[in-house]
Amino acid sequence: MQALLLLGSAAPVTAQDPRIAARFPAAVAIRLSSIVDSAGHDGLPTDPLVLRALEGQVKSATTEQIVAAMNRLRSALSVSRRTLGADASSVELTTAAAALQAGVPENRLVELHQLRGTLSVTAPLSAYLDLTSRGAAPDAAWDRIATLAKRHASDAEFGRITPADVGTKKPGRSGGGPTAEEQ
Amino acid sequence: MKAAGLLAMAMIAAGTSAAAQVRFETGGGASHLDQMASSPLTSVAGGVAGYIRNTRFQLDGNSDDHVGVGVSGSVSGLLHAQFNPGAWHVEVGPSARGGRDIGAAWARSMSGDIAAERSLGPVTVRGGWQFGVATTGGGHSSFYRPDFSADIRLGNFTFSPTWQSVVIHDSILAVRFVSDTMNSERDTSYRARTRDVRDVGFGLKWATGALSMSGHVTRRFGAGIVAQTWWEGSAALRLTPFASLVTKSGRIASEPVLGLRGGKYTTVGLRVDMLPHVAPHPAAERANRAVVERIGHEGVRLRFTLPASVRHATLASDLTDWKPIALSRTDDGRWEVVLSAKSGIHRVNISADDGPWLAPPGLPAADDGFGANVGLLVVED
Repeated sequence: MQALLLLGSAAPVTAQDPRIAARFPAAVAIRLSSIVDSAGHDGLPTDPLVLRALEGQVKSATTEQIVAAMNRLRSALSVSRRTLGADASSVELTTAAAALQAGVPENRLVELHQLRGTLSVTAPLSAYLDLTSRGAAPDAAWDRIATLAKRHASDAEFGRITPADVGTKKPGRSGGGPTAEEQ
Repeated sequence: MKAAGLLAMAMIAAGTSAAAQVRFETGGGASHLDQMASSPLTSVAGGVAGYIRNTRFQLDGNSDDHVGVGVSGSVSGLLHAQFNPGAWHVEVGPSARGGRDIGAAWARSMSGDIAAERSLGPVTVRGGWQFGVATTGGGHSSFYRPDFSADIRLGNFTFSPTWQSVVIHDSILAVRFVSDTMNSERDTSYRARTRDVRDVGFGLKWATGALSMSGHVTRRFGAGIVAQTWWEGSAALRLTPFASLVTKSGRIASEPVLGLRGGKYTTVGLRVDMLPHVAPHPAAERANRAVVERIGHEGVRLRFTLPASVRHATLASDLTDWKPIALSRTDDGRWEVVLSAKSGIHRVNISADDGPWLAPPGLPAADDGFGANVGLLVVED
């Protein structure tokens, strides 16, 4: 009985994600799974990490590239968890991590979390990323997001902002005017 | 197909209605042409293909040096207008070909082409009709060439049954010498014959990431034709986004219209695909914006506008566990897919005609961490 207990304690405590096991050679799958397991032990969502590995596989990335990408995402998820707290949902953490990886400073994440209170930061962060990727100036876009967050706007209101709105509200800001497609 | 995919994706990335793709390929190996001795082979090939609004142009050429035996080569070009009536893709226009067999003069042909194609999810069907005239060393010909083929995509595999018929009416220059005891003179005349060549084949392509492989087997038969089977296999390994290591081997059939001989060959070479940078046009970008439509709380319909030249498109995303799935062409010529999606930010890439994974047109793009871009799809509740 004691031997069985010893054997049990030496065995891996978590099962490998079947998607990783199915799409990577065994040695690579073990390496990637260790990153996933480690994140899980820290209370971070593991699905985004599995999906990042699968993305690397379909894009023919090297194992080192995949490991690096997973570690960067794990780090961003850790920052998101620290900033948004233990109650943050997996979707919130994933969105916040995407925002951090897109260059949103951590202090802005903190500011948005404080402004939103108990409301999710998913919609405003999604809107911010959408605006900046469509050519809106980051500062102008953030001002618009923060203004709406201060008055506890609904998720739908964030989704309705366009780069033209950002430009109209902040015409003097560099890059805050309407993008080429709206001209 | 690879070049077409790159070209299409260049247009997608640029968001314009004009682009060009330049391809250069060189290789070495061995060849054994019919009725010729085996020899080392060096080959160079190149091509340019592009689109200006709804007109597609393509020019290709190659020269093969069968060392110690002779040089053969060919050039071809086309200029096709493109239309998209409903979910169909139709091309109409002229094309021309020239070819030179070892020790022979250049043969040439001109034709008018019409082709139609439709994508039905993972299946693409196409048919065409070509009518033309040719001049070879042996005389003149007229020909018509109906063809039908399909691509059936299952995961990383594409199965392609093909059927093609070429009916050639030859006017053959006949020369004979008539002599009697006093005079000798040449009698020159034309005589006619008709050849009916039918090719039935099956192709298979497989691609994953940087590696792609393809092969086909075709059986030729018909009136006045010696039945024969030929095959061809190739593999390409993408070394960089623009350079690929390519190896090919096979037995190619004779070309009946231009009278080019067939043979066996094996080559290893390098292919370079060059993409130009084309600045996006605001109007094009506006027209190309992706449509994201929520279906209930669990689904989302994505619609993309891709260049008219795109034959088939696939999407991979965290919403599909990064398994490629085929997009369907809609009646208005767009490409769409319906997926299960929870709210939040999702990562999406699409590939056109087996080209590289790029951010979909009309979606915000970000660095994917693997040296390329990924589209960011915002799904709201």
